[in-house]
This record gives sequence, structure tokens and C-alpha cells, in this order.
Amino acid sequence: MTEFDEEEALISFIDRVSVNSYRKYQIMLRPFLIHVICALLMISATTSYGGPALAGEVSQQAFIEKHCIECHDSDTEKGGFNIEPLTSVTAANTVEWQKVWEQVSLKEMPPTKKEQPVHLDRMHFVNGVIAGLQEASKNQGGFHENLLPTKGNYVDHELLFSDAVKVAEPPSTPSRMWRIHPAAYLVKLNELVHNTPEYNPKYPGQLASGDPVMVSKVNTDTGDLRLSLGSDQVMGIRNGSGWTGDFPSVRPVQSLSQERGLQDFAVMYEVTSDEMQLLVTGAKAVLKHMIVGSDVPDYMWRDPEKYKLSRTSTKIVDGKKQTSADRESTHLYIKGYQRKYSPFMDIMETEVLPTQAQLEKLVPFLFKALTGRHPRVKELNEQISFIQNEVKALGKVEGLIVGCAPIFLHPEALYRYEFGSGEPDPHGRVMLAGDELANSIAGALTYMSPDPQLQAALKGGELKTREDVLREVTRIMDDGSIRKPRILRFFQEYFDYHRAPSICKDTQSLKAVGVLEDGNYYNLQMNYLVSETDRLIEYILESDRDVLRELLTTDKSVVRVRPTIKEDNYFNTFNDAKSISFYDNTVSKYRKKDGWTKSETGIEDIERPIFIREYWVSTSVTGPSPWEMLTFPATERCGILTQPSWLIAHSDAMDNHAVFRGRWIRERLLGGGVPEVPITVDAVLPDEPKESLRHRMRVTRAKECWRCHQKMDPLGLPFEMFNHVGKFRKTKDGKQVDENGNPVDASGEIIASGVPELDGKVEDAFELIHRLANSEHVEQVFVRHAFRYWMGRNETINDAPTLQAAHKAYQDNGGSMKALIISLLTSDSFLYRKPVQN
Amino acid sequence: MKINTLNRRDIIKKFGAAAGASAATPFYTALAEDKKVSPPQGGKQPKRVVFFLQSQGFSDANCAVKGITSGKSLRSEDLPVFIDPLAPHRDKLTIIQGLHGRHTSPAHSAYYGCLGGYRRNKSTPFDITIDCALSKVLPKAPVPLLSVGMESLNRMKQVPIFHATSAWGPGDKASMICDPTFLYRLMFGSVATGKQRKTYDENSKMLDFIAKTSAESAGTLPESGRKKLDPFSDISTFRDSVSSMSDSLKTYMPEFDEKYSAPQHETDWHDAMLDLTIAALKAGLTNVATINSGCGEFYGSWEGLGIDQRGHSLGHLSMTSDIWTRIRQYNMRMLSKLVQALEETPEGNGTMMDNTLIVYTSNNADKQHTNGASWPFMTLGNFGGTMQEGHYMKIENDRPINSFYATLLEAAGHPVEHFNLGGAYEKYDTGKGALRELLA
Repeated sequence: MTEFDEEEALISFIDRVSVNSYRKYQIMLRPFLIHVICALLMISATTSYGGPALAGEVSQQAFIEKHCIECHDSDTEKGGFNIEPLTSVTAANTVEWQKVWEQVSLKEMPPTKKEQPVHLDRMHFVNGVIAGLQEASKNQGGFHENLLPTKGNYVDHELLFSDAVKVAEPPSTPSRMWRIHPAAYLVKLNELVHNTPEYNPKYPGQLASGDPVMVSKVNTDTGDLRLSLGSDQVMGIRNGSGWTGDFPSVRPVQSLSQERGLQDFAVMYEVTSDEMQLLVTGAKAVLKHMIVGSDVPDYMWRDPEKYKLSRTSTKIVDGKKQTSADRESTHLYIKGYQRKYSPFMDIMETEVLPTQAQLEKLVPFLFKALTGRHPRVKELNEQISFIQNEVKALGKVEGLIVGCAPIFLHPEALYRYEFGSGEPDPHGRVMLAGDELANSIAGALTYMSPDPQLQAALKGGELKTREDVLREVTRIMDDGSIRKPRILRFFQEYFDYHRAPSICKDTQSLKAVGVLEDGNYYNLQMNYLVSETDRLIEYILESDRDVLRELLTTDKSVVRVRPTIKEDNYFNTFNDAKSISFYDNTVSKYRKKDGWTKSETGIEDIERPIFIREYWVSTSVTGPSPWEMLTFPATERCGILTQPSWLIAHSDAMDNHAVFRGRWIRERLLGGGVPEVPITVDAVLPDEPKESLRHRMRVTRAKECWRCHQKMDPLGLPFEMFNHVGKFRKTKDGKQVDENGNPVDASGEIIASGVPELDGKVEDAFELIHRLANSEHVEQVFVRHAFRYWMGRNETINDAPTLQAAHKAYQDNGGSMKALIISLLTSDSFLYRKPVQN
Repeated sequence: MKINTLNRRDIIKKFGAAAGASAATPFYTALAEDKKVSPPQGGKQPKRVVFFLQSQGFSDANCAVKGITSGKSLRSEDLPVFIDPLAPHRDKLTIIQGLHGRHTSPAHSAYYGCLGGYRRNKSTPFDITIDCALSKVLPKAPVPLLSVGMESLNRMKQVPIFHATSAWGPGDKASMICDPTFLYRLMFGSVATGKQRKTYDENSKMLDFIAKTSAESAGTLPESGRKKLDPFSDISTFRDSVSSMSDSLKTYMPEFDEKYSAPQHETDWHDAMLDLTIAALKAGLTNVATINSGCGEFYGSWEGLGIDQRGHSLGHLSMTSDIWTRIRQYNMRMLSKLVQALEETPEGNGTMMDNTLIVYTSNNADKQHTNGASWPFMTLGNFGGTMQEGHYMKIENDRPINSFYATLLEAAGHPVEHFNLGGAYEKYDTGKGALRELLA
């Protein structure tokens, strides 16, 4: 068919579907239809569906006429929205078309009382609008909104988990470059420069090789992600702020977005040119440390004769006791400082310039550590030649630093390449292969390069088929000694509890709930709370049974025993000890059983520092892993959504935040969505500090607000059982009251979930949570989020088989996260790539 | 290399990285596309603009002139103590009160909402901010926006590049440089001497090698991959763009002294940042600068002024307290230094200051815990004869900060009805377009 023929055919098609339409709309909508039909043809070219409903030509115009025009023509203009002028998607009206896309995708429109389109019609209409937006925005950066994680739920859930759609084309992911997660880049650097202990199953709470480099949240609420060079040799940190001070450090690249929800999508990040400048600086610092060591201020070298440190981080100087506030006492390098071995050490043993043989050992060492693969012959030769030239020009040390730095900025050190190779299959897909496949498997679970066995499999030609991938993924999942921080990271981003430290609390509001705000100390407690939830999740993952339900309903909590009585009083998140009904020793493995008692052991007794896998590492460098498992009455705590970390992460400076909480449930459990608030909406509750939040939120009941707020507020208000720092509210005369003595009304309701058996009123948060935890729909929504996280993109209708298989694997294995992950990582969606049409 | 380098790929092709971002870029990207930039009428030539944003607030009391009425000259008035260092520049000073930013919901900081005129969001800008918008309509320069940040020493060292107040479009944050050594090398490394030059040359060589390797790598990639490797070669693009400016760079390059290499207090680095901004303006490296005292957040440190208290708690003090008076006066001395530097530099038939506008305000309206109902501004200069100067102006009729930004755009030759208010203007703006009383 020639181009002309195609156009004719299109027009003919448009005329045919328009024949029974209102005349004026036929004229008005034609340009739009051309866009839409083009889009549909494009879609059908890549996505052939088997069902008769899809074979039928769905008329976009008919959709608008049937479902939109009645209320949104220029006469009626309901809600102030007139669709008539939107004759086509243009750069000038993309905002309006985005509203259409959003409202129809989220089933806000047509309104529930009107006749609803069938799922496939809705999907086709939405796809057409997206295609129109993409076309109209192509000179303005393109339309990518549908690719962002916040829009994942816009794909119809029922279509994804039903048999209605027979997908003729098997799943695949667009070929891409996925920026290496900043945390992963740091771990690679960390492994290069630091002696990280191998994982010790006796002490799973200890920081081990492959664990993330921790983020300090003290001085900036956006997080301070960096690697402190030489921190493996540090002893005695008890004062949190000391950690962020004077170490030579490396910041990898700017942090990920601090928005709520999943963040690490391939389409979201690029390495920018200003980041490149930072990376150069960082690479040079790391190389200097590896070659000759870092510049360390004198006072950071511990002189045991002069300084005696105790666990309370006081030091004795000249017989006088100094407090931990003096930074010079709080972070010191140990005696016998040793840098980690690298081929640089062989080169630096003598004064002669590096030999060819030494460089042939050095370059692959760095290349493999940073890109996950060996250099090709040409790369090796060019890199060696560059180093040699720099050494000649700048001398040995400087030349090595400048000469080797480019390896740290190699595109494959910053991006994971996912293009696939080999002959395309009949659907145009190619499977990931070779280094790409090995790096993708390793990168899905770890922050490390492929482990030795995976590399061996690759080298031995045993990493080619889906079965090979299944074998390797299963092995890595089963091997407890391979740290898999990406799994915990998924739960952090899914639940968002790790955002608790970024919530800046108002001093007076903290006082009102019995917490004294004291700068860093408050932040410290916030980070403890995150760590506690981390450990609880790990505990649940260890048994790997009914994982989601357990996460939502467990009555257990892991609590970090506060080091001193003072701290207990200071921020006793959980109410007094009487509320603890059961002390469970099953996680006593988190406690170091030997070699330490609370009062007597100082750092002098320990040869090497022990780091604990806190979310924030600046405390407890020595000593035990002091987590304890507690079981709370089922009337007080119920899973992650009642953990203080989650509650605080979904609060604001002064109070609970029912909208954040409700929205979380709407999106992450119910799989729904709420349209974006216009950027100029003035969303402020009345300033009535003595009134309950529920009363203050009466303003959202206004007609123009309630349409969206009904999807959130009744899901968030049941958490009024807790205050804004996550404490279970006290009772008076047998009933809970808030800090002003107002009775707590924790009732709520699930409205318009799309699943009739879920809808209805609830008495409190616990009834709400239990109802949701028992829902298969909620389980499927959880699977969708796992899919997005591990694929680094939103699902499309083509991914339905992957999602259904993953859910089945989860169910068939008794709610096993491991089975779910293995299913995802052996799916076509994970293994196959398809070139992007430019 | 890029310090917010004007680069269509960077500026236009990026899109929102998070919730709320819209790829539609409804306002200014479209303007950039059509390129129909008309010069202002009457041969006036606005050329450059500098924004100075102070963290934690700038209250009406801080710029209240006793007994004055709107439209009156400041020439013979006593300035309040907080801004007294500007007294020598009263003829250039305009105090603007009466604007609101309620819709930005500031509270601690409005972040991008301050210069964007939209709801506070610290992670993702909803749209272009006024500094970036002006950069697109003012005469082009190698660095379209120089945004610098001032904070505690530790913070400036730890976070050399930050994002908080400026954006090129939805989700497209503009970088704020917070480490003066880093910035010095970026801008003046090619003509510097000593260690800075050596480091610049080393880095350049490295980046050239990287550019070469990535170009080879890109050759094997499909189009989608090749684009992602563009930043790997930006160093040479930037170097080329300033290669013809080396004389000018050498002339205005600040001396790299101990203020940079061995600062005693954070104020040494703050001063260095100001010097670098002045030098960049004089050398023609940029025509738009945003100085963020407090990095656009709600912290800040001024130990160098003898102020021990720092960070968030500073905001709990009254804006007229002794501590804030000292901080404010320090700000004002900086502005005064900037004015003097531009006044002593010839441009055309006059000085650089003749074609410049300096805008002072806070990134958080009038105080730390605020609803944004009052948002004072001060300007210095007449922006190439396009704006009033030397007056006190009380804006009536409840106009938003967006209307002031629309005024700046009109002065720069781009009249708009609303800046970033979209369909909500009726709710927040009683009028349309520029504040005519501010225009010349």
C-alpha cells in the first residue's frame, strides 16, 4: 500500500465510522480522528489481539459522542469543560487532552451514573489520546506522562487480569539504557576502596559486602548520598553529626527523585553534563585513595594513648572528660589503617613507572568492577595507551589518577545497556544476551556486578536460555550470602515508609505529643524507625509465606532498643512497656549474643568496626545489633501501615495527613488513582489547632473537592487512631482521644474501589486493613507494583501474561515473594527487548 | 560542560521525572519554539537580570519606609535599618509591596513555586521559572542561567550541585552550584593559572577521552541510546562556546585566593560566590543569575557574621530580630557590591547597570511559617529603561507574584497575560498582564 493509498484508506475508514454521526461533530472531529486512527494503526501493527471485540473497529468519534458530548458540548460545558474546541490534539491544547486522558483512564469519566464503556473501548480511546498527545508534543519534549510510575495504574486492571484480551504479541520491553542506580554506583565504588566483610549469617544485622552505602539524612532532608572514603577504618562514632563532617567523600550523581512511590524507572533519568563534572571529581578522589590514600585531617587518626573512647562517646583528654559534641572524639581512624588491595598496590611498590603487564592487569580490574564486563581488546589498548601518556606527562601518581578516571565515567559504568542481540523473532524482539543479560540479572537483585558463578555461567556458554536464567536467578535468590538490597528497596518505595526522616516536624507539634525536638536527635530517631520497619520486612520475607498479607496484618514489630533510658523517654514511639504483651526471641539472631554487654565494652576491645545495617549508619559503629521483636495487641498495631515510620512518612509538620494515607491505599492497594491537583489549587485546611483533623477536613466535602477526596479521605481518616508521630492514641474512659481531648472517630469507608465486595464502611484502620489484606484484587495490584519495579517501567496490556503468571506463581507458592520475583525475572517482559521506533 | 548550558536537548527534550510533572510545557517551551522574540519598544535594551533569594522570609517590616505612599520617590527617604546599606542606591531602588503568593502554599520554602508562581513542590517543578523564562528572551550567553547557592560550609562542600528554585520547564530542574571552587573551574578554568588550570586541563583531557570513547560506543547504538550519550561530549561544546571569550574571561576572572581554598567561615564562600557571579556577568558568560542565600530551602548559616544559631531554627526568630538584621544587612551589602561592580563597568554608552535589573525577595514570602499572603520584592535598576526605579510601590487589588513576573517578561519584550497561572488566574489574579505601574 502506498502512502497515498493509506491516506485514502484512512479517510474512507473515518467516513465509514462517521456515517451515522452528527454532522457538526463529523467535521469537527475529523482531524482528531486522523491522529487517533493513525495511532490505532500503529498500535495494531505491533499489537494484534485475538478477540472479536478488538477486531471490531472502535470508533473514537462514537466514544466521544456516546460518552462525552452530552455533558461537555459548548452548550452544557459541565464542570467548565468543553470538548468541542478540541478538534485535534495540538501543542496548544495538550493540557485539556491530558485531562481527558486522565479522567477516562481513571474511570472518573463517564460518571458512574452514566452508561460505562466496555473496557476495550475505553482502552482504545485512551491509547488514541496518548498517541495524539505524543504526536502533538513531539517538538516540545514529547508526551511521556503515561510512562511515569505515578501513572502505572492507568492501564485497566480488569483487562490485565482477565482472559478478555488474547495478546497475539508476546511481551517485551523497549530496548533502552537504564541509568545505574546511584546507590549501586556507590556500592561499586565502596567495594573498590573498602574492606567490606563478607556476609555472616550469624549476624544478619551487620553491614556486609554488597549492602547499600547508607544515606545520611541529617543536614538535608533530601538526603546526602555519598561514600566517605576510609570509613571502613573508622571507630567510635556515636555522635551522628560527626559522620557527615570531615571525611574525604564522593557523591556519585545526584540523588533520585524524592517523590513518593517507585522512583527508578529507566525513562526517568539521564546522566547530565553537570553530573559528569561531579563524577570526574569523585573518580579522582577514589583513585587517589586507592593509589596513595586520602588526605585525612590529623585529628582523625586515633592515638590510643591520648584518646580513650567509651561507648557513650566521651573521651578522656589529658585526664579530662569531653563530650561527644566534640567531633574530634567521635570519628577516628583506627590504628593500623589498611587500604583494600588493588592492582595499584603492586604498581606503587616500587618507584618505576607502571609496566605494560601491570596495566593489563589494572585496566580489566577496574573495567570489570565498574562496567560489569571485561574490556574489549580495542578498549583495553586505548585505555592503556591513555594511562601511559598521562603518566609520562604528569608523573606516576597523577598520571594514574587522570589516566584511569575515564573508566569510572564509561557509559556502561553509568548505564545498563539493554538492547539484546541476535536475530529478531517474528515479533521483532531480541533476547538479552551476554554481558547485558548477566548485568540485568545482577542489577535486578543486587547493587553489585555479576557474581563469580554468574560470570562463570556466561563464560561457559550457560547463560543463553530462559532455563539458564531461571537457574541463575533461583541460585542467587537462594544464596543468603549474596546481598540483595534491591528487594528491600522495593518495599521501601512501595510503602514509602523510608520517607519518614524527610518529614520536618514542627517543634510545638512534637511537644504536643510528648516529643522534644532537638535537631539531629529527632532525625536519628526517625532513622531508627525506618530501620525497624526494614528489619520487620526482612523478617517476614525470611518466612516468605503470605508475604503481602503478613506485611499488612502482622502484630509483630521489630524495635531497636534505645541505648539509654533517656532516649526511651525522649522518643518512646510505642506506648509504655505495658502494651507489650509478648516478647519473642525468634529474632534474637539480630542481637549479638557474645562479646558485648551494655555497659562495659568500649571500642578498644574490638579489632575492626562493626557496621550495622541501619538506614542511616552514623550510629552504633560498635557493639550489638540491638533489635528486639515485640508482639503488640492486635488492637494497637496491624502491619506496616501502623508502623510509626509509615505513619510519619504520611504525615506533615504538625498533624496526621489523611490525604497522603488515603491516597497511598487508593493507589498501592486498590490500584486506583486520583487526578493530579491543578498546580494552583490552594489546598489548605482551616487553622483550628484545637479541632480534630476530621473536623478540619470538612472543607474537602465541598462538591468540587469531594469528587476526588472521597477516594482518599475515608481511607486515611481511620488512621486517626494514631497521632502524627505514630503513637497509638491514649484512651480516656475506654475511648481514644486526641491531644486536645477530642474523641477519636476512626471510622472510614472504601468507596468506588471497582471491586464491589471491598466497598463499604469500616469501623477503624484495622478493619480496613484486614479487609484489604484478604483481597485477591489487592494482591494483584501488589504484583503490578512489583512488575514495575523490576522492569523499570509501567506495564502495558501486552504484559498481561507476565502479570498473570507472576500472580499465579505468588499464589501457588503460598504467597511467596521469591516465587513472584523469579517469575518476573524469567518472563518475556524481562528477557526480551524490542527496538524503539524513532 | 554545562552550567545550565543553553542546549535545546537539555532544555526542551527533558520531561518530568515525577508525579505532577507535565510534559505539555504549556507556557514557555512553546515560546522558545516559535523564536519570535521581539525587541522592546523605543530602543530600550534590557540585557540582564539577577535574582537574589533569601531563605526564611523577607517581611513588609523589613522594607517599610515610614509615611511613604505608593508611587513616591525613595530618593530622600530613610531606609529601614534592615536594608540601610542600599541607601547609596536609593535612586535605583524600588520597593514593591502588596503582592501575594497564597497559591504557592509556601511554609518553610516555596521552592520552585517562588520563581514559578505555582504550588510549593520541592522535588519537581511544575513549570518554567521566571529566571529561566527571562533567559530565553534576553540576549543569549554561553551560560543561560547561573544559579549559585550559599549555605554552611559543610553543606556547600557536600552538595556542590543542588536543585530547588529554578527550572526550565515541567520536571526540568536547573542546577544550582554551591561549591565556589567547582564553579571557578567550570567558568574560568580554561584561562586560570596554577592548580585550577592544571585541574581543568586534566579534567578536559579526561572528558575528551571519555567523549571519544562514548562517541565510539554511541556509533553502535540505536538513536534512543545515542541521545543519552550527548552529555558525555558537552565539555567540548562548552569549551568551544567560550573559546573566543578568553580575553574577557581573563580580564574579569577573580583571583583564586584563600577565600576559596581555605575558607574560615561559610561567608568566605558566600562572598566568593558573589564575586564569581559578578565576574560571570562582566565577562559575558551569563545574562541571568539567581543567587540563593540559603540554597532555596529553610536552613542557612552565617557564622562569619558572628551568628552561632543556624539552620531551621533561625526561621523561628522574628524577621526584625537582631540576628536577621545582621543577615539582611549582609545581603544588602552584597547587593550594593553587585550594583557598584556593574556601575563601574562600561557598556554601550553607559554602564552595565543601565541594562540590568536586580530582584531581591525571599524564597518563602515574608516569614518561615507563612501563608504567602504578603510577598515583598525590591528591585534595583531600570532594566534598560523599561522599568521604574527609585520608588515605593504598593500594589493594589490583590495581585499575585505571577503578575510581577509577567511585568518582567513584558519589560523584556514579551508581554503575557499570565505567567504560569493557567486556567486558575481568575481565582488568584484580579487583573491581567503586567503591573503597569512598575513599567517605565
